[in-house]
Order: sequence, then C-alpha cells, then structure tokens
Amino acid sequence: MSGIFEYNGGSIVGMKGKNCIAMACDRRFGQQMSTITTNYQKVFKIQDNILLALSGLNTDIHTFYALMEKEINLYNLKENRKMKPTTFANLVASALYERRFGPFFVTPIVAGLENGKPILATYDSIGCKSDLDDFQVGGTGGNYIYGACEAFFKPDMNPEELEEVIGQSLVSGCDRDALSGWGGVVYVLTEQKLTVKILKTKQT
Amino acid sequence: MDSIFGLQGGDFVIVACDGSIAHSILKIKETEDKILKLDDHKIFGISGEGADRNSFGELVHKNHSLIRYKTGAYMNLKETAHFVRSMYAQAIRSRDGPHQCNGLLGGVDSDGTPSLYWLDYLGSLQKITRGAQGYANYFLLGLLDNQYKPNLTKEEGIEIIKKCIKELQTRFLIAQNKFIVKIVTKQGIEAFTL
Repeated sequence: MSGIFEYNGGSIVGMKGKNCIAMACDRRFGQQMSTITTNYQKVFKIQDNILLALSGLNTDIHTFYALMEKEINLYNLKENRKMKPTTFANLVASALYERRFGPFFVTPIVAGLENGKPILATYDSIGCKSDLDDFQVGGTGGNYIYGACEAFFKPDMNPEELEEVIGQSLVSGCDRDALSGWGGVVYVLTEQKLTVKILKTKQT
Repeated sequence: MDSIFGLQGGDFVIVACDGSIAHSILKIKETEDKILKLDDHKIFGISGEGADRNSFGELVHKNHSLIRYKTGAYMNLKETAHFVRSMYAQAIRSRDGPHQCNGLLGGVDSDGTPSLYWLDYLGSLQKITRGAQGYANYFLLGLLDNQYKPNLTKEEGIEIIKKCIKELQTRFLIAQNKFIVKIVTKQGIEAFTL
C-alpha cells in the first residue's frame, strides 16, 4: 500500500482567532483514485467547547473518534465535570502513543476554548503534540493549505474574518490536491455558539 | 471479481450481486447467492473469496442474532452497520489479519426509513445512496450517479439495476450472466434473478 495515509484522502485545517477557533475539512472519501462518497464528516464535536478533526485512514478515523468519545463520556461520568480542552489535547497524545508500535493511521487536530482562550494542537500519528502555532493543517492537501494559510492568516481575527480566511485556505488547498475536495465544511466555535457552513470547491 | 452494487430509494433498498463462483478459468456456479439475509429487514451483500465471504457472513449473522437474544432488542440499520464495522476494525490488527471481504449493508428500519451502508475490509464505513464494491465501481458509479434521483420508486429502482446489469454484461471482461437482486421494503425482502 503506497502511502496508507493517502489511501482514503482528505484534508483538515484548524485556526485560532480572538476568543474563537475554526476548523475546516473537505468532504471526500475515496479509495485511491476512486471517489466513494462526497459527504464524509471529518470534524467531530467532542464537547461544547472542543472540536476534534481527523484525517487519514477512514477505519481508524471511526475507531479513534469512538475511542475519544468513550474516554470523554467516562470522564464526565466518573468525575462529574467537563473535560478541559488542554486535558483533552493531552489525552489524544497519550491515546496515540499507547499504540506506538501499531499506530492509528490518523493525524488529528484538536481545537477548543478554555475560559475564552483558544487552544489548538496537532499531532503526528504516534502522539507528538504540537501546540505552538496559530494554525495547523493535516491530511493529503496539507502542504497546499499551508501556503494559503500563511498568506491569508493574521493573529486575533474575529469569528467572521476567521471563517472567511479558513474557508479560502481550505478551498485553495483542496482545489490543487487530487485526493481532497468535493466540498468543504467550516466550523467556527465561539463562547456562545458553534456555526457550521458548507462550501463549494472545484467538483473534481 | 464479484460485483456487488446497490441503491437506496424513497422507501426501499436494492442490493444486487453477480451469481458466479470461479476457480481460475473455470466457472463453477452461476447462481450463488452472495447477499446474506440478516433478518426480515436487513440484507448484507458480501464480495470476496468464497471462504472469507462465507465465514465472515456467518460470523455477522450469528453475532447479530446473539445480540438480539441477549438484549431483547432489534438493532436498527445504523447500529448494525457500526457493529459490522467494529468486527472489521477489530480484525485488522488481530493475529489472523483482516476479514478479506467487502460489503454493502442495506435495509429498512421499523419506521420505514431505508439506508444503505458501504463497508470495506479495513472497517471503513459510509452511508450512501448508491454504490458498488469491487470492479463494478469502475463501470457503475458513473451510471448510478447519472440515473439516481431522490425518492425513487421501486419500479424506477429496478429499472436502474437492469441498466447496471446491462452495462456490466456489455463492458466487463468477466462474463456475468446471472444476477441475484434483493429488495427490502417495509413489508420485507423480495428476491429474484435477473
């Protein structure tokens, strides 16, 4: 299998704004060069203030998401409180490292709001957490999106600007990557609400 | 070499499969039913080597029944699809390796909602309205995309399946003469050969 991370395709991107965060993903699910479906969800709401985006092998996206849902539900039941985004970010890293010698073929991005402060973390497939930057990308179209992000991004944007910037970056990146695209979905999380918008990309 | 393809309509789901079993250049059988009946309202079309197809099919069928007997509740389509997915996903990192078969799971829930799910041997899962497994993908996806519209009637669905069969018979290198088609509606499962 040449590139198990490229088998199903897909791209994700996360950005920090002023007291808000945004995540975006494409909608394609394919098998190498063949597209199976164009409504594949890759961003999941783990908690009211935490979003988890996953790109990589479809089966491991399902499995890893289910694992994280289980962890956070058990945490809520046992500790009778919500999990903080920084805690969840650490949880993802350790859950990935638990499978160090048989990893999940996913590259997650975690984004959340902790007391209004935006949190963004990305990982490789074995749990190396990186939470230093203001935007992160993942997936087959990642490198293309990096370029667009670098050009459009500025710190401390408000939710409307952030939605525009992340949408444009995703669309530009996915239009160039053969394995990503077929539409995009943008999630913007503020203290008050989560807005979800569906975008059009080049339909190929 | 198996062709499994299916379609979801307004109130029904169709899954069709070719009937042939082959060993190298020899066609052993033309009327093999590769669509498993999980219960009165669920069917699971499986494509893959005979042994893997049969053994995984039995595994799914028996575990599905076991859950019903243990919990007393019927699983709906979404639950069944996730259950079958988890069987695939557990196997990929197990000692014996993945179950070498792909599938299309379709059916109608007790409230009449139809659904069709695409599952592959790694445990990928997607809810679809039309799709295929194996080589049939290359020949039929375009045709299914073109002919599909929301809320199809059963007759329109069968017409589309007939067109798909004609397409495979015209263009696919491996001659596939007989196809087994199963339709699930709220009333139950109908099966026929085309």
